[in-house]
Amino acid sequence: MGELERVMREASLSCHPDSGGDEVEFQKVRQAGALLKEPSARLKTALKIGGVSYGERGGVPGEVMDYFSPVAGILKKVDDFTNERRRALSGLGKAVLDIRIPGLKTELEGLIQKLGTLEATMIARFPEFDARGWEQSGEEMAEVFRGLIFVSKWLGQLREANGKIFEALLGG
Amino acid sequence: MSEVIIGIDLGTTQSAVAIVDSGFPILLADEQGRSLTPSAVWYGAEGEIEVGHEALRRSGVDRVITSVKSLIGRRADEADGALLADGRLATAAGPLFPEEVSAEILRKLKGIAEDRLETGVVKAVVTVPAYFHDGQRAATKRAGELAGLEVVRILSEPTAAALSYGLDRLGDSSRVAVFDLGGGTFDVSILEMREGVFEVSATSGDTRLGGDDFDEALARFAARKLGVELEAIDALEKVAWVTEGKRVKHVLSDEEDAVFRIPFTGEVPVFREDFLRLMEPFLNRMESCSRRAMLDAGVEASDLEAVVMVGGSSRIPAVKERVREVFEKEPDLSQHPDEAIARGAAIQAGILAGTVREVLLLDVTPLSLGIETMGGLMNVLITRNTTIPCKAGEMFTNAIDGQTSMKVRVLQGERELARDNWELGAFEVPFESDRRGQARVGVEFRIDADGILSVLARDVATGKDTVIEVGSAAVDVTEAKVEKMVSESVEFAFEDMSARVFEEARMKADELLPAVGVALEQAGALLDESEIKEIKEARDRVELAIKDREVAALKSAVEKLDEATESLAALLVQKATAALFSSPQD
Repeated sequence: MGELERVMREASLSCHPDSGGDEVEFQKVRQAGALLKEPSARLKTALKIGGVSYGERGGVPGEVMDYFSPVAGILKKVDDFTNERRRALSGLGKAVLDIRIPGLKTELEGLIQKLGTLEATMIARFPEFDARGWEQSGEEMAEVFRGLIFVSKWLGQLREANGKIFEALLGG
Repeated sequence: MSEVIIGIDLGTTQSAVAIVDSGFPILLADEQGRSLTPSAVWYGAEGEIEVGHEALRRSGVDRVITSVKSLIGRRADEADGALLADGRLATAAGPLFPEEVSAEILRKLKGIAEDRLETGVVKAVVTVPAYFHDGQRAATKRAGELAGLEVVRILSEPTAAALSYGLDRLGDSSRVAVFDLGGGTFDVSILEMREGVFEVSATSGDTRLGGDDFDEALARFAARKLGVELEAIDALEKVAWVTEGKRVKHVLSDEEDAVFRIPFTGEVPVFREDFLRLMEPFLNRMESCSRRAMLDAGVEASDLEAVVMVGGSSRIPAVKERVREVFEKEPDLSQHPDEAIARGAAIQAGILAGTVREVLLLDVTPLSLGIETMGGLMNVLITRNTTIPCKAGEMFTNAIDGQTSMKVRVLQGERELARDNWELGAFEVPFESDRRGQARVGVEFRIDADGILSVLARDVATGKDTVIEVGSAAVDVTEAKVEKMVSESVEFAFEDMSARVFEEARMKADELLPAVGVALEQAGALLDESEIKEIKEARDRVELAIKDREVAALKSAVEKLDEATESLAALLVQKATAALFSSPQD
């Protein structure tokens, strides 16, 4: 990623409005950079360039689908916790709810770690697609692409939930 | 010589103006050699206006407006009664919008700059807290215009501080946090600096947290000890209490104890531990924002090279201590806490004027931007911490045949429900009349380099563009509407007060009674016998008052129980906090 960051920095520097560049050009560079950083977006672009047609709602790798209920479950628990805590009227009422925190934290961190590993395994398949050629790998790429979309969405939600817990606790 | 652009730090308690002179940012001082101007404005009955040190001299005798920054761009319902229903502030010169008061401060700073530079000044970079939303930024810009300044950039304060810190470290590649705690606002930003490019990765903060809160907390503490009801005394007298709070706070930064003195009322000794206890909730909020920023930036404390502290309140030992804990390093105090932001503003002014090269700033939008969708939810279009300038779009269509427009509510904030976020404004998107689902209108949201939003609607069928004004603050609330709101609230207020008081106390009791049982089971062993006895007695009194339906008795009993369980609650929170911040392998 070092190379990407260097190129992005140079491009940002040359086209930012403050250094005499063009705003539209600047936004394009930022969007391109964001696209390259996000594995699922990279794959989507490769599918587009490779001219591979694939269904938006097709199959998702089974090992991804296994996480559907655990993720939804913990997110619901965190939501319940933060809502109840916000509604609590007394210091002790809030404190009693805080007893749940260690359990929530363990569950969240466990899932984040597992999903991170899963994401890495899927990204590790990119070179395989490149070697075989994008046209030949179409369906598999599409499946991995859809899997990555779910995983990155979940990771975002789980991290957000993690943030909400300490905000609730420290926010008083 | 290229045109002069000045950099202004428009602070809650004090402000400053700076320029870049031969590559170095310097503060400009007034005739008395003072480079910091109190953000205070006094209006006389005859139309006189005094600003800064002159205004502050009248405090205690006459009403002086301070901390107006905490009101700028806010609606009356968010101002705890400090604003009139139409969003204006009552002054001796009649009702004024907060930005009109801020404009006087800016005019004063412009004058100082013109005196020093011996030339007219029309352009300025003005700083705002990173966490200011669109309405507050736009109002700050208006304040500049009212003062006769073209505000060429609204710059975030922690970013300005980072520019000041980074200017002599341009060769370095590093990632730093800026912790900015001022008189009324708090920001924390994570930045990457590489070869002159300053890129903000994440920012977080609280626009209602700063040194003023600590002064007031100390005043409350002393008032409680002296048996004085701070709410009941008149406004001018309260100023004296808060001012004494500020003095005590300053003493406690160097000494272990201080004496809070109000003439003819009494004295209260205040120790550092007392102050630390009062600070605890504020320190927790700072920690929460700091951890949120690191989480958003995807960094851990160990990834950061430095944590740069600025803002007057960063002098407080307890704040430094918490920063050291959270960021796991000795805070960098190399920047002058009161001057760094103005210097940074001057550097950005230099970048825009072309006098400072090789430096570029990539800032972010602090809050997510979205629109309300079905079911009152917020649909995010631009997520927080997106580099600005940026834009995003959404397509709208008609839900029924022949519909010619639809209402779009623009929101800023992080909450899921639309109503919990700040509403920037609502507007009608016009369609060419068509069958259901046939009309297409693209709405584009653009955030400029000032962090200010503009909206453009394009009818896809006709290709016609409409620039939409997103109104901010409560300026468009009509007098009649305000009157109705006020009269309604009065009506409700007198409707069976005692029943409401009882219900409120009852709800709190319903929560506390079972909580006492659970909490004693979990942490009761850590309390001594007298504490447990006190809690149980308080609990019995609450139960008795509920049975007797005694309004006054229940209210006071619930308050007693709330107080009696304070340390028990603290024990539980401590346990939870420890669990939250322990590393996973523990």
